[in-house]
Amino acid sequence: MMATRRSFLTTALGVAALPLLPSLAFARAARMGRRERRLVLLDLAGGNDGLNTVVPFADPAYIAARPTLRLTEKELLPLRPGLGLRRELAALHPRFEAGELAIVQGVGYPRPDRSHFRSTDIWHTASLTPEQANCGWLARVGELPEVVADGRLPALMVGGGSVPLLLHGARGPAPQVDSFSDLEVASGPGDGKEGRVAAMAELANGEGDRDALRFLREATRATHAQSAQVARAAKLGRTTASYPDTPLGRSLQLVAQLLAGELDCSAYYARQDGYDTHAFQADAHAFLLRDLGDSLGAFWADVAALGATQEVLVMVSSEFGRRVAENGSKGTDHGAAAPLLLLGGAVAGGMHGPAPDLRDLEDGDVKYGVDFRRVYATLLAQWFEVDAAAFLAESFAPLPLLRRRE
Amino acid sequence: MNLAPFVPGVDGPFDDAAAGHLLRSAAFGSRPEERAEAVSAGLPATLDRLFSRDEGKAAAQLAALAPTVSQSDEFPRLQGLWLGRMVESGAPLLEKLALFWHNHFATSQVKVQQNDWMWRQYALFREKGSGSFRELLQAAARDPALLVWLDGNSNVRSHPNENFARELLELFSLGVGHYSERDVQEAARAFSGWHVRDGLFWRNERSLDTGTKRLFGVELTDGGEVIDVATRQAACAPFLAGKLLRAFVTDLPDAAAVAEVAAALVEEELVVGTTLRRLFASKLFFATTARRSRIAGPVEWCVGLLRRTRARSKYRAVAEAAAAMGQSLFAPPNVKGWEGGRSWISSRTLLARGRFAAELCYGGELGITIDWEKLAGESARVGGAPLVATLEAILVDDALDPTTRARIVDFASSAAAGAGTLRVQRVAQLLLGAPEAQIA
Amino acid sequence: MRRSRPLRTLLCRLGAAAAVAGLLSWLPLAALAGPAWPRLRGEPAVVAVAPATEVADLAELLPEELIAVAEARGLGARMRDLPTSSLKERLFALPAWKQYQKSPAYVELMAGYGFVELVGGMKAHDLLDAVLGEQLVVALVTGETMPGLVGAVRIGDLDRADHLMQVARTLAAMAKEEPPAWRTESLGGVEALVVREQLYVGQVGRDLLFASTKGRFAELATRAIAGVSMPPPALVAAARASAPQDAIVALALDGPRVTAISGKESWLPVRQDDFVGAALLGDLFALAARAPVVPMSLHGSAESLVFEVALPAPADAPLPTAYRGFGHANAAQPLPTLHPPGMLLTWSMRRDLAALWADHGELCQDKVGAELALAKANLGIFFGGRSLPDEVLPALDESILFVLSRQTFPGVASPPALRYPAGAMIWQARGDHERLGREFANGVQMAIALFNVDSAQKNQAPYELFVDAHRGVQITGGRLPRDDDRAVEPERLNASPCFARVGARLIVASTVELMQALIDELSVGQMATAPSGALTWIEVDGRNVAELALEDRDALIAQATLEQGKSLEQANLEQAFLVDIAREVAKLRLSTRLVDATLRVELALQMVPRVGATRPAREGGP
Repeated sequence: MMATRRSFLTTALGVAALPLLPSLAFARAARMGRRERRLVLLDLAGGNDGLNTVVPFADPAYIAARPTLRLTEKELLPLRPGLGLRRELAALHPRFEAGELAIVQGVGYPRPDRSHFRSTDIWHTASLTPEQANCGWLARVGELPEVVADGRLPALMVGGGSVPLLLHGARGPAPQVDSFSDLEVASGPGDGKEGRVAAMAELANGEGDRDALRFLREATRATHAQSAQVARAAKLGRTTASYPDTPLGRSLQLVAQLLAGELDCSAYYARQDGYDTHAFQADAHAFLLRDLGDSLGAFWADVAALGATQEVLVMVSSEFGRRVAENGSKGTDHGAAAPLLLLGGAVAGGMHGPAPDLRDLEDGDVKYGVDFRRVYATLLAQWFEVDAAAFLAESFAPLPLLRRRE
Repeated sequence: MNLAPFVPGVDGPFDDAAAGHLLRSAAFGSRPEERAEAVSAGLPATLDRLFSRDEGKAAAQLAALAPTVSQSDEFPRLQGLWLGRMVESGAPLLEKLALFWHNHFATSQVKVQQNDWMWRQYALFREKGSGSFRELLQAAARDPALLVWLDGNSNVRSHPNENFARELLELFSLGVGHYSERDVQEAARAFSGWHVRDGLFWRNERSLDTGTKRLFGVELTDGGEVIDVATRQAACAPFLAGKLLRAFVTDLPDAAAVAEVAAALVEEELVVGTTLRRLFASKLFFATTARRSRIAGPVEWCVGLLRRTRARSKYRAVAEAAAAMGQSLFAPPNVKGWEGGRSWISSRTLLARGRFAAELCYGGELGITIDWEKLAGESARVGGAPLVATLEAILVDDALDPTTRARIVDFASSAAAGAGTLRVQRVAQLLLGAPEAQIA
Repeated sequence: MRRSRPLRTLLCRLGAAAAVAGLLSWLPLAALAGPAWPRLRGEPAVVAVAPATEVADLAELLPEELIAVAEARGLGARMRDLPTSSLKERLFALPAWKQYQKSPAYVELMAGYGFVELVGGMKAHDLLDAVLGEQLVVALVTGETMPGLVGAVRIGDLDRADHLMQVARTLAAMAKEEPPAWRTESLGGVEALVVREQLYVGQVGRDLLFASTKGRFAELATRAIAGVSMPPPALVAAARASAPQDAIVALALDGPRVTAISGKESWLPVRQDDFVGAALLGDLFALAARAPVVPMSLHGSAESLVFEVALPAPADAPLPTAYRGFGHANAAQPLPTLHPPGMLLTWSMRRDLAALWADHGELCQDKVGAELALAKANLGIFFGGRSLPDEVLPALDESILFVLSRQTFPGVASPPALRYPAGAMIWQARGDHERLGREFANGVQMAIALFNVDSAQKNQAPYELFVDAHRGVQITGGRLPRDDDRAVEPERLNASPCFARVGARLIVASTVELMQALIDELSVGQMATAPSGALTWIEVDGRNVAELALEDRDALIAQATLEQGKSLEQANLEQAFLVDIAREVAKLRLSTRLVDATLRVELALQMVPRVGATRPAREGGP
């Protein structure tokens, strides 16, 4: 039977859909190119209380709105006069002082949605009408050949839970690793695993001219190559920092290990759950932020030890902030705009965006001062170096969040 | 004559290889003894058996749990129930045809949400799947799950919703390019008021557009007539023929094959069962180029291996494993269903197949238990070529390319393979990791 | 994982040893059959060594370094009076057993049974009766690399003992294995049969000795031949001291030695993985982990069987204060148990949740702290801004009652395939119970309102809030409107969550039906009281469990086939067995009681009394 032109196209696309990974580890010297940059996205799922993360402790409106939850200056680390960072994030404060941590205040979007799911989708699709988008913005970026070379891994979700819309592209969801075994070729019990995997890989080198078989051999070779690369990255990668024994800590350690092992993957995504603090927020929020600060602090220590601070950028955001006034249960309800963090050697550190005005609220929520898509526009234009307009419905001027590259 | 019959002895032998090809296409693969039985019974008798509707006691008892399982919030159980029935069925073609129609109408529980409606739709495919395509389409168009899937309830006279009508023409009967936008609009009007109420099809008189519509040059009023007219279009038979060939014979059918099957479909008045029977008895089907030219879909692959090894397993977990390989039963990715063929394969899905193969060989979370030493019989003790030959016959018929086979024999004869049961398991796993093992 | 390997290997060995010992114990029945022993093939008879003097007590043969020990005396004779024999009869009378007799598994079992009879040259069915003879001791002893097994059985008379040894040799000789599965070796003056280098068996007089290592066997043999009387090991004495006179089996564990082989700091976790575990079992684990010796015993009668663990709990035991708080330090009574119609389980306990929460750092692993902080945040919303651990829990007495009962589905056209039981929690309020009652009522309404928000998103019917009265008691809760066809999901549970206060008792129930039954029971005042000193008192009614299992039959079978990978045949059979066996259990009780500075953990099985000697056949009949 003859193949039709249409089926030939299917074939070609089918092969292209495989993330074929070159087996050569990339050279350090070439890392400055955009294809060698690594973005780490971290979602604080549930809606992080921004006001109790980056705290306007001296603002009388804050003090009035938070009779039991308010934090005082001595519980905070100085950011600028009247503004402090939670002590639980102490591991990040030196990075702020060193100019590697940017805090963008009041990040949100018009007509804020207070549903966790819809607001998350809005952030993940970079669209205010996420129902009409079925791909995440990051997945779409990863499909651009100028960003992710043919055969490289565009993105990896690290940790458990479902793969979010952010990572769903035209070719389906990005791979997810909770542990290295997820990307390992299964080899069965007993010694000599490597030999057996090698024997399996060898089978892809057979001859024969059947069409389907040729295709499958190619696919099998690519799979073994990719798996070998992750395995090698895992094996080569060493981390030295001490991480909290939490899901987030383990996820970020895994990312550090893969970075250290030089896995050719351009974005990582991890999620920290539990920020939906409607009642008795104080202890729970403190636990979460300490976990965040210590995990991220350890991760950055590993990145610094690798000498990769220029190539790695971390963005920390949440689907929304929380109501300015605390509720009757010593907690806070779903809100709107909140601060966003960017960490990296390429970051123009310090405070960005207008400080929220607690005397000018919208339905009891902070009005947004920076559209999150403006942050995306900045990353698209200056980190990925692509045309931001192709990803965003409107045109947004970049923010001065990244240092100019020579 | 279209689909000229394959005459054993003249056009080639109906031997182990031919029987294997037939049972991979029309069933979920076979064990060596089933092929031997087929060869000695001959092609016509084997076809009689394949088209029997007697699924056996175990499968029937399993299916009787459907009302209970539908009530469970755990949708994967429903997937497991169907998958289990495929494994236990004595009438595998019935299940394979249902799977074909499930992919054709591509309704997903993710939107429909009602487990029992999904099961009812599947029961419809089982019941009418080998009959007249026209009648099946008439019944499917009144199926609650499909109507919900394609927004039937929002198709009202004042605001016709074209979703259902468009998919009927594009995906169910004719294919792109064989109808106009005007046809879609007219068909949508004809289906207005085809709604669901209380879980049943309901002709909502208030929403019905009773005016005259004009479709493909024919004047009509009712949606049922749209189906009659559409299925009489010349494009219908080739459209369906191509899909049948891709599902049952080859990923890349050529135009001549499509034309032959289409002509047979027309001769059989779109009755799918008799057409398929002619196809399975044809020279076209047994041609060397038609063999081993189809990549097995995940469900077919898993079910086949479980049947071949007579394994017990946790069906729900296997259904979830198949989902990880890219085929989540009752939940196709979109209205087009699974694209199939090469799109089944990516490094993600190949790794998932590898994990399933490892589970099959060594056991694990899927609860698969197989007595490998017993399965391999005398060859378990010998290792080497005899062991590979035994396992190949059980797991993949005669799939292996000589070069591949030689490599596996090398391994099976080496110290790395170990001895005893472990050697059988390792050789089986290696064999299932071969590219050939993914091809039906 | 690496650490537990010796333990696992040991368990394998014990399994193998138990198999051989089990086989041995089946054989001497022939003694009852008559003096004419069948001549066995294989080895010529070995003349047994006679002891200088027979030791009076087999336990004297055991070494001092025991990790665990079990002793049974006159077990054979006693088996007849125990429920095990009536259990056996009951088992053979079950319809499910008859079904099982048709299965291949049964045929295999019978083949094995026949083989044993053949080799032993006797009928096997009365066997337990005869074998267990006069005294049986089995112990786990410390060893160089891993623990070993030692033990001895005293057989009724010398002839039977001789025969048994010979059967053992014959069985060993029949196994065709390369290298041979057995050999003989002279150890401590006894010709020992060595099976797979894992089990040493020998005979001194009418005593059969066995051990898992050469050294331990030689030690046993030397002592048996010398016949010198000495006191039994301390652990045996401890087991005997704690067991009741009529105990069937007396056991004891040496805590520090068990800990040593577990390779951990303590053989039982002192700090629990989760809060619920700490609240339910924490005190038991804490006491057991610290106990130098843990004695246990099994005793019973024709209709009941009781397994008891006695944990020393002196007033100055180094227990965390939270554990002392709920009864170890005071003698307050638990709440009387309630038995609503269809009762599946009633669970009364004394637990000071506030103290447990406050002390979680000491009682639980570190991560529990974060979990509790999140729980506090998530649950706080139900108590109108009052803190669960700091304000709500301290207002509750430590007496807590939990009840589960079968549900009927009044007015539901097609009841669900899986019928969840209804449940209720009952607390005793301290202080202002009217205020606390109002807060609970508000909390339940709040929870229903939140649930409704979720239902609305899923397009399901919301609960309608109601306030009703039953016997003058106000019930606050929510129920589903019957005429709303969106009700599918919640209707399946038949839930109508509600709250009521009866005096100082605060009741939260999952259905109004159960709530009314509980109020009825509390108003009538006929409640079963748990004995004084009880910290936990759990009763399970097997007959209601059987009814529930019958109602949920299809769902359970679907679960077994789809989730557990069983065949339909097997699933059907198991389900039938579950129902049949549960029906025979009138009451299963688990209790912990503090008596005389000892925490007694008791698991008691009470069978349904049997009417007449034989049971009328279920099928057929006039």
